[in-house]
Amino acid sequence: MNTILRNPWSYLIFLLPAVVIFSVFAVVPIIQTVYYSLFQWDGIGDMSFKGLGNYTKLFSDDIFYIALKNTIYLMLFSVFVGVSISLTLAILLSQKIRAASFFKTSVFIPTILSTVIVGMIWNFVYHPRVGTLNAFLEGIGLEAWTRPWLTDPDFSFLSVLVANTWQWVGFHTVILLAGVLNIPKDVLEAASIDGVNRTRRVFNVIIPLMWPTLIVDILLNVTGSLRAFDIVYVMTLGGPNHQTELLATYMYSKSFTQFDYGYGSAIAVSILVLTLIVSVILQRFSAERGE
Amino acid sequence: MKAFFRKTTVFMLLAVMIFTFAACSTNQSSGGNEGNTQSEKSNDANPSNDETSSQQENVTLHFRHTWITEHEEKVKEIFDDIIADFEAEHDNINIEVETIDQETHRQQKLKAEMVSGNPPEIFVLWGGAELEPYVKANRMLDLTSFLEEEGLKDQFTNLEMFTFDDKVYGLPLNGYAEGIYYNKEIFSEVGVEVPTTFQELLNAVQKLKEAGYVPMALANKDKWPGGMIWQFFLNRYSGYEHAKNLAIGEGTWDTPEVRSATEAFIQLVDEGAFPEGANGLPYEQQGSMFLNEEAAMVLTGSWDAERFESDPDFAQKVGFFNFPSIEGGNGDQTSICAGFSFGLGFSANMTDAQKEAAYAFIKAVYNEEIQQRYVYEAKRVPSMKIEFDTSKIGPVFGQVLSTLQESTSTWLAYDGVFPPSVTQAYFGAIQSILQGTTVDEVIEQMENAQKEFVSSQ
Repeated sequence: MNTILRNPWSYLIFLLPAVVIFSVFAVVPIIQTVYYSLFQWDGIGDMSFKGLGNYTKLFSDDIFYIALKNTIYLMLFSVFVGVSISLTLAILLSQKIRAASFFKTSVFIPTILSTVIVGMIWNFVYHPRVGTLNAFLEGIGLEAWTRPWLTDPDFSFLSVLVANTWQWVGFHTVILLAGVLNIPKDVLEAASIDGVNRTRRVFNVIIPLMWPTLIVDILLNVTGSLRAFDIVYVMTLGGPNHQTELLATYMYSKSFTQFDYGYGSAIAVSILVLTLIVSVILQRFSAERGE
Repeated sequence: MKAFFRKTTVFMLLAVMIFTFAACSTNQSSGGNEGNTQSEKSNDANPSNDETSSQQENVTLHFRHTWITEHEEKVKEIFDDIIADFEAEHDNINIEVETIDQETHRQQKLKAEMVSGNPPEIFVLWGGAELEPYVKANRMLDLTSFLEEEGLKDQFTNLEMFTFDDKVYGLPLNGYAEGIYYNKEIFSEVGVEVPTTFQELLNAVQKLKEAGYVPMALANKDKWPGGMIWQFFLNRYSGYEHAKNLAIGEGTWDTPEVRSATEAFIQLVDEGAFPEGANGLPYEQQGSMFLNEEAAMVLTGSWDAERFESDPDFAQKVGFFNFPSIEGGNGDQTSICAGFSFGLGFSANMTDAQKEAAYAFIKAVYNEEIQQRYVYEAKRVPSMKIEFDTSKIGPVFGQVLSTLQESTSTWLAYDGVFPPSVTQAYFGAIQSILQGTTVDEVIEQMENAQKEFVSSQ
């Protein structure tokens, strides 16, 4: 056994299956995507080389900027608003409260629903004529605030963001709850003996001690939002007039609706670059705060 | 050690993320069920020697359709009958039917199969821009000489959507016509007549609005329902030639006619003709608004006739008229949007025996009897020039067919005329118009898309 472990080649052999699978399903397609992005191609016929033409087009494409802006908004919204809500819920649920498991289950329910169902539910909530949100606003005398939520240019994307956060809040609450529950009881007891009040307990004891979990959860939020597609596809199809377009939905619409695979691939590459940048920033950030 | 684990976790998450991202972008090269179909094909091609009674070799044809929704049930029934009769008549031919979702078939499966060259032998197909790349890649069976030999070609009303360079690559099963359905009861209650000019339409909209109705139902989340409206304005003002020229990259959107057409559309929107938030509603809801008698009119196609006459009482209230004429327009003012874009396509990748079988199948599908069943049972506009008994047609569908016959000329729905990228801009512009925008912005958006299209040619 020792001789096997001392031989560097044996490591390589053990790693081989994983490396092969990873290359075939991840590395090769990425290289292919980059390759396709240099061509004008409808996906079936002949490919004609365009060099960086698709990329110059990308930078003068207004819709691309809308999609990029929306994707970044989605990321920031799920990190700041989504994680804050999940963290609050997690800390509340970690307390000894009555019917805790009932609350845990109810918080988690939206996550087990398929996005299509979530989209339908929220389409009814936002429905301009029979929607619950408008009905509620009318009920409490705020008629002036009623509007077609999904098509009002100022609110359409925010409406999608709310639905998306609602869907995922339960999932992140469960992750963060595990982090909170992992904090040693004696530390919390020591804090309360020292007379720490509630706010300081949360910000100076709980959050620092669950930092690693928090970072992982933030990363999950970020990656989730960078490849978000389904909620927009179900709720608005990117409309009205691309107001709610995301990079992923725009990529889909270019490649599969307009048969412009080359340009679609260029958008895919831009998602890859964005993902890499954000991951590097996050890694730096977590390393600095870590120790 | 802790830091090590953290870094590993971060790296692993990164890997998972890239993996997911990559998985999304690999669809383009996946070959579908290639191996599977190939092996089946070679089995079927083997002449079976067991059957001494028949000298012909056994042939299997794979047939894929997408008739899974309620309003396509009748079409599926007709085809079930055709296939049963056909197989009974031809002992050696076996038709394997596959039924899948329309979007999956059109957008993913068929495209992937076209890339690898192994589509099913027979499949449902939409003509026009969608078919063009398949034709260019030589994946479609050229039916021209067969149609001429059989004298079938002249029996079709219009093969435009399936014809490229004078060669026919598919056959329409049925057509569509687009116009305005209205509720006769609401019209007489409010005191409006069927509008024959745009001004009359505007007046009707005003009165209906005052009476508390939604004048014209519209649910435009899926984008194409709105596409049915602007095209009428464009056609009434500029004529069909202008659109056909744009489709081949000639001409411009910045013409006085297009400006007037857009202004007129904006005027209709400003009058409150359409429900609030129409851009966010899924298509089914515009039919529901009309059926619930919330809305007095709905501009849609012949395919909705069946839905509107499913309740016999309601059917009595429904009328149908062509889009009104517009004074000062250059187009044919009594033309109608109608076309024959949906039908069957055949794979070029077939053995001779399979081709013979496919030709026999075409003859079994495209004949007067089946087309009549299409009219009477499925309430579809027939694609062939056939005789039918108007008394056997439902009250609503009958009006659609007679409106179609009264119209002076026909033109194809614009979302099938323009290339895909211009069509998307067209849909986007309509969503903007419904939300409130200026003519200049619309023209600019369309011109940009048009220039983009011309430069990519």
